[in-house]
Amino acid sequence: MKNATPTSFGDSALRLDLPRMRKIQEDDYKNRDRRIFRSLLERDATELPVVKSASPEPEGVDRRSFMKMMGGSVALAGLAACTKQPKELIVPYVKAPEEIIPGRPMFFATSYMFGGYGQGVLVESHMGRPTKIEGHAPHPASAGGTDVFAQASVLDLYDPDRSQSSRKNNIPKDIGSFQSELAAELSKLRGGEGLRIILPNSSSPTEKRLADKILDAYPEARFHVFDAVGSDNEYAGTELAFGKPMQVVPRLDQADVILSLDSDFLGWGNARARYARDFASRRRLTGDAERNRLYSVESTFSQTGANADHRLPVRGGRVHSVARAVASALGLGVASPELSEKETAFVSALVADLKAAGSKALVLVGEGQAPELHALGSAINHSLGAYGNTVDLIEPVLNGPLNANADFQDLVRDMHNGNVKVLVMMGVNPVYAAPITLRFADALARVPFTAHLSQHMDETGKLCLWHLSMTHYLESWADMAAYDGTMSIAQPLIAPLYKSHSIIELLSMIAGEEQTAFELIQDTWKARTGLGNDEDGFRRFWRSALHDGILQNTASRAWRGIPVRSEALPRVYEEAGSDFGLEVVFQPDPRLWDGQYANNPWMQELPAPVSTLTWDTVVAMSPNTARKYRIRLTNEDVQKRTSVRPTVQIIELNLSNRIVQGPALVIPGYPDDTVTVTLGGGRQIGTVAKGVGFNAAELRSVANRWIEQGATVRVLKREMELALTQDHFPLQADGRAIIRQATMPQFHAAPDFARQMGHEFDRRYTLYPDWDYTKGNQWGMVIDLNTCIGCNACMVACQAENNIPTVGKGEVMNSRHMSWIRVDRYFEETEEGDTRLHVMPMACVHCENAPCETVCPVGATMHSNDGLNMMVYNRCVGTRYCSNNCPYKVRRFNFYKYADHETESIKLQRNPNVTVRARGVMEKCTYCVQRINNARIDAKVQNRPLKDGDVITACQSACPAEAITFGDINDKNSRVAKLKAHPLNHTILESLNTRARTSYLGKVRNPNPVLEPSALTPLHFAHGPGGHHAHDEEGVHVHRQDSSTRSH
Amino acid sequence: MSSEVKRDPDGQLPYISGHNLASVSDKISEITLRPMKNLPLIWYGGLALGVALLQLLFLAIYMLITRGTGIWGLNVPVAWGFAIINFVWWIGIGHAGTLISAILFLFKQDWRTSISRFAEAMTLFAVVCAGLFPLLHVGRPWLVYWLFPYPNTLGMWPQFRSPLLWDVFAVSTYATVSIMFWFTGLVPDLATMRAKAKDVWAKKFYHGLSLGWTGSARHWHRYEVAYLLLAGLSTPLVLSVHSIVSLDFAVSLEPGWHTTIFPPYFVAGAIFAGFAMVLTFMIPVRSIFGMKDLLTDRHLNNMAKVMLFSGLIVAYGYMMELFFGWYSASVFERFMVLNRLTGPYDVSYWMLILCNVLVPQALWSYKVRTNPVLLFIICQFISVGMWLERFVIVVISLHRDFLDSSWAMYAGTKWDWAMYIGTMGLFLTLVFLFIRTLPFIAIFEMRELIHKDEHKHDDHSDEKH
Repeated sequence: MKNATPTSFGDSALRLDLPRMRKIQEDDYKNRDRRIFRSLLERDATELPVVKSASPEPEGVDRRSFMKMMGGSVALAGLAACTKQPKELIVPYVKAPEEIIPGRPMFFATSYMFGGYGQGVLVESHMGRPTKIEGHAPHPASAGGTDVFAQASVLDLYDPDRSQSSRKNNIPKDIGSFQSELAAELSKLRGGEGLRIILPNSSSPTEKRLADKILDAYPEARFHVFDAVGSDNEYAGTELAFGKPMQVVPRLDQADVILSLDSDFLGWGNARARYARDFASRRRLTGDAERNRLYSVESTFSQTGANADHRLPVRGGRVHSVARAVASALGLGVASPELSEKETAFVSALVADLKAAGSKALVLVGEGQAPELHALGSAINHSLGAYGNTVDLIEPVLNGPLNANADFQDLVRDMHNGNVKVLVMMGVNPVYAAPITLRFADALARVPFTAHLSQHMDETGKLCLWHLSMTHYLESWADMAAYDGTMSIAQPLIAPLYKSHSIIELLSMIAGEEQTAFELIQDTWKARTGLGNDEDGFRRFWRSALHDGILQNTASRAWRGIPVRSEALPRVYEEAGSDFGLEVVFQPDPRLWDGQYANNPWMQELPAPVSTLTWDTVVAMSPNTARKYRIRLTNEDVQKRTSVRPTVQIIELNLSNRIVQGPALVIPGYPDDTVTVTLGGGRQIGTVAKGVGFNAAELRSVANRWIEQGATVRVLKREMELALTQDHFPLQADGRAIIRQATMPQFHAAPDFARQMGHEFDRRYTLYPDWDYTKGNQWGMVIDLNTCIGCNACMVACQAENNIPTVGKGEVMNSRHMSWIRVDRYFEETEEGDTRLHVMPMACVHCENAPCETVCPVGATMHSNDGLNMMVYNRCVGTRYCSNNCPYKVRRFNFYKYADHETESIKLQRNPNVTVRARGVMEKCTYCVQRINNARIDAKVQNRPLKDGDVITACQSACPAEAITFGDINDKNSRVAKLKAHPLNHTILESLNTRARTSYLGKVRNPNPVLEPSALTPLHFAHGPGGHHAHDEEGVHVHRQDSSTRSH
Repeated sequence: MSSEVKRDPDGQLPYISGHNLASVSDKISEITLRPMKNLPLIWYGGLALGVALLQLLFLAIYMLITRGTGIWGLNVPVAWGFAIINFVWWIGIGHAGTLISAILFLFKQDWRTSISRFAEAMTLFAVVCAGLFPLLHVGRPWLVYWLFPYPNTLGMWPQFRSPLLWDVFAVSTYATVSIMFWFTGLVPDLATMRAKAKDVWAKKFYHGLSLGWTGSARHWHRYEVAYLLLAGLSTPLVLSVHSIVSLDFAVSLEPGWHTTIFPPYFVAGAIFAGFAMVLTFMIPVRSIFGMKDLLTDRHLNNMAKVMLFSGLIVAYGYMMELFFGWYSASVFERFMVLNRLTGPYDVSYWMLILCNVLVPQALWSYKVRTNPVLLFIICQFISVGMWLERFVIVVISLHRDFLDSSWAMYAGTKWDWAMYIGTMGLFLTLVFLFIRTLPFIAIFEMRELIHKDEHKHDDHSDEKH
């Protein structure tokens, strides 16, 4: 992939594309009219108020007048066809712009803020349309990978539900009137008293600059931050520990032993893609790095917990007690609470490990835990010497206020008291997301002048006087800091599709200066670089900043050698007594987050890690909890499941008279006596979001935002169906050898254990000659099950790359979801009664001996010379025989016309190099054949053979853990060929003689032998060493998986 | 019925009694020639029901083509469902006819004469119903002609390794040969009808169809040779069609499908189901039209014996499926067996055993075999059982195969049922139209039988002609 910095362009009249935008920037930008930035689409978006018909409907129409009216209508219909269409010129470039090659994408580095922290991305743009998000290797928060949110964010740009114009009282009205009204309102205020502005968490220097400017003009005004998630507890905890709020920057690649105290750093971290990459670098067994060990004490079942070597599921309130016991055993002078036998064993083994690791140990505390635990975690890290080694502390990168939640409460109190006169909200949706105890909507009604800037006319916008349309990050200029302080300047990829404004533009309006975002950002950086007067120097800075996507060497300096304040430690955290009642743990949803992704169909249809839930939010709990509250365990007996669509019971949760009703989903591995609810459901707007799930904010209190005790449960008589992509009880049918796992000692004793667990087909028993695959490029893939964290980023990436449609809840329940790559989840119940979770990404494995190919009567699926199993959509008549005969069940069928051929804006997202499939055809993973062909063409143009790394599939590129490797297996020096030669390499279902091109690296766990003595027992293979070619005389031999995987 | 019935020398009841050459012609042709108002009410009722259900079929097809295959209960992993089940079920039913006409003809089983015409017609109608499913079950039915090897500018041939393609050839060959065989057998009777028809349009109708048959010795000679050849041609087809249909499953590697026993076991199942369906119609028809003298209890007895025998082969097939599931030592095969016996669809498996294995054991009894009511009830069990057998094979195998992450459940939707019941309407309509328009018992063969019969009782049985 290349970063292009276009230099010049043609002067085609109405064409708007990146090079043109760049040209404009580089011309005299100060005098240019912002209207040039507008695209053609804007005109289409012009909305007119609906005028009611002047003539009343005639009552009762006789035949004669009916005929008259019909005649008239027909004539008018003809006339209507003559309505003058807006003038639209479709002309070819008069002078072709440099850099743009029709049909070839360009890539631009930019970044966006998530929770206020910058996330670097590389955006693929086809003729000016951003279509796909990739990771941006130089950016510290990406390091080349992405998370699901980055992948899905491109679809939000084209969301047809987006707000398209400013509105007053829900009637379109131009922003000029807003500006004059606002100015009038502000002039009434003394020194801005009563002006309040709510922003989302942000690290933008420009926002800070503009906020200061506004405060200069209106000294009594106040800025607030609303974030339903945020990092308040981390800042409060470090403040307790160090006397100053600090930001924790873990260096997961440095840590040998990691203790996660309810910290879902892989799912909820500020830079989760980067964390995954660092974490994976110590899970990989094909390199030199030593394997790390992760202990997880958690109150839910998180992605991080699923990847832990040892996981201790406990109630949220209990995490603190376990942490205190750890601190106590480490000699930190805190009293140890009483622990259960299991907890004691866990803690003593853990402490020994932490002590042994010393400064190579790392303790991470989850945002859901109280500041006291964060302080305790800091103290443990400090005592181990972790600071400076496995974790750094930096100045918070967020603009603040850092106690956003408490500060927001003050604001709402002021609103209730009528002290707020003008309230401007930007990019936040507190009416939906604020904890119900704040009664934010009531407070809002008491503010005379309210304005709301948002991408959707959402719950908050509907209650405001003014709604203003907000730009998507791909439409606007911005600047921001990543989790480690690295600065980046974000460039737009496309002119705003609608009459939208960015946050900084609106801030600029309030400050009374009305500059464009572009000017604002440049002004900030002219000041910050001191290059304001050096035009050439600034231009060089600017261009390299945009090209690189980051400002080099701007990461914050780590604070070293700060003592932990001793008074932070003895603070006693009282765990609720045993009569606490049910505990509710709140979590941002792994797909919808705080609801901002709820109108994104890719996210709604993405299976949640662990539960595989789509299109809903649920109350998740363990089987024991369910039994205690008499909630029916759906499908407990898998063998006897008789209903096609399992239903779950709806329960009512009551926390101090805050009540929500939601489906109870019972999942093994959750801690007992606690339930987990996720934010993000129950939206009231959006064709996609509306009515999906329930709104957890209605149960949330502002005092206990994350964990609250004392819920009561009422099981309602109603039931509902959930769209789960997998059966929801522990499965792993005995002896299937799908997930092949061993412990580190077992792996050292038998490095090829994974191959031995399977049963390779003896090729002597086939009548057919082998096809010659020794020539040319032969594509293959290896997926490392040690590093895969099950984050599902590959699934969204594949969806974006390959124009995969979403099918909706009903069709997911019908088991007709379309994902080409899926992340299979297998629960395993251990002998100790713990639940382990395994994930396995599964897409078409491109069998050399593909069962699907021989059964297709029309030859619509066949093999290419370079080893791809291809689908010819045009030829497919849809017998679905191939799907039946596919043992991996990776083929997907268009039972209906799933692809959206109607919505104009959605069409813009499509990858032009991938066919949009029609009704009635089969589809499946192509190994991103369009990328292979592009690389092949490039190589041919340059008259060279393809080299390793020329082809990167979408899933591989997205994977934050670098678990997927793709390449030419004939090239013995390629990474994929080397991995295929690794002893851990194995295919699954190899006994079927499919000869899959996608293989896996067997999963090796690194348990502490003290906690899991069986980890030392060598594996026993039924057929002895080298068994994959050993056969008994009948040639019938099926390996029974050894006892290391006791299964259901 | 006549009170005193002459018995055959072996003590059996005769296949025909109380008839002479003229009476048998009159009796059979009378049904097609009698005025409409004299037709029994039940004929009208049956036809009306058939036509009504046929409308349901049209609606189901309309919905299918306009909305997509999604209106059915299919999914991934269960990408084949009712359509394939019904296809195999109907094809199976279509087996009795050719077996009776061709194989029993070659084996000189005289008792076949009175049932052969009817059974053959049912074969054709069943093949028509069966053929609808593979054509319509595909995702893009308007392109289904791509399955045929026709010359085209794309230079594309179908893929000859696919069993679905073998199906195309097997079923279309079977349909073609069955039609020829059936029509050839009809020609002499059509001439009889031409002679007997009074109505001018009926006369023209039979005149056209009888192809100028005069009954000359040369015609009879040509006829006999052609019929014998076609019988020879049909005989392997009886075995091949369902064998090839079974290969749709056996060639795949799906546990529960991938098994070598399928071809013979499918053929036996087809004969089993086909005889059951013939009896299902034969038993009511012979009482409605008073044909007990031509379709005697001895016919029922013989057919029941064939059913019992083929049913035992089928039961053996079920046993072997279980045995090989275990003996394969393959975890997937073993699980498949376990899942059939105890999985979520276990009821359908045990119902299948009840219908196809346990109930038909009653046929060991002569009293049951010659009791039309009991026989009719058993035939219903068998028809249901054979449908369940295909359900068990298609759905239970697919819904839980290799990777448990892909397991899912399946159920037919209302449109699945509409299509299935709709084809029954098509079948009923065709059967009732056939009963009215063509002699449903071969007149000339019956006359031949009477001729032989008379010779037998005149102690000239050794005299062969």
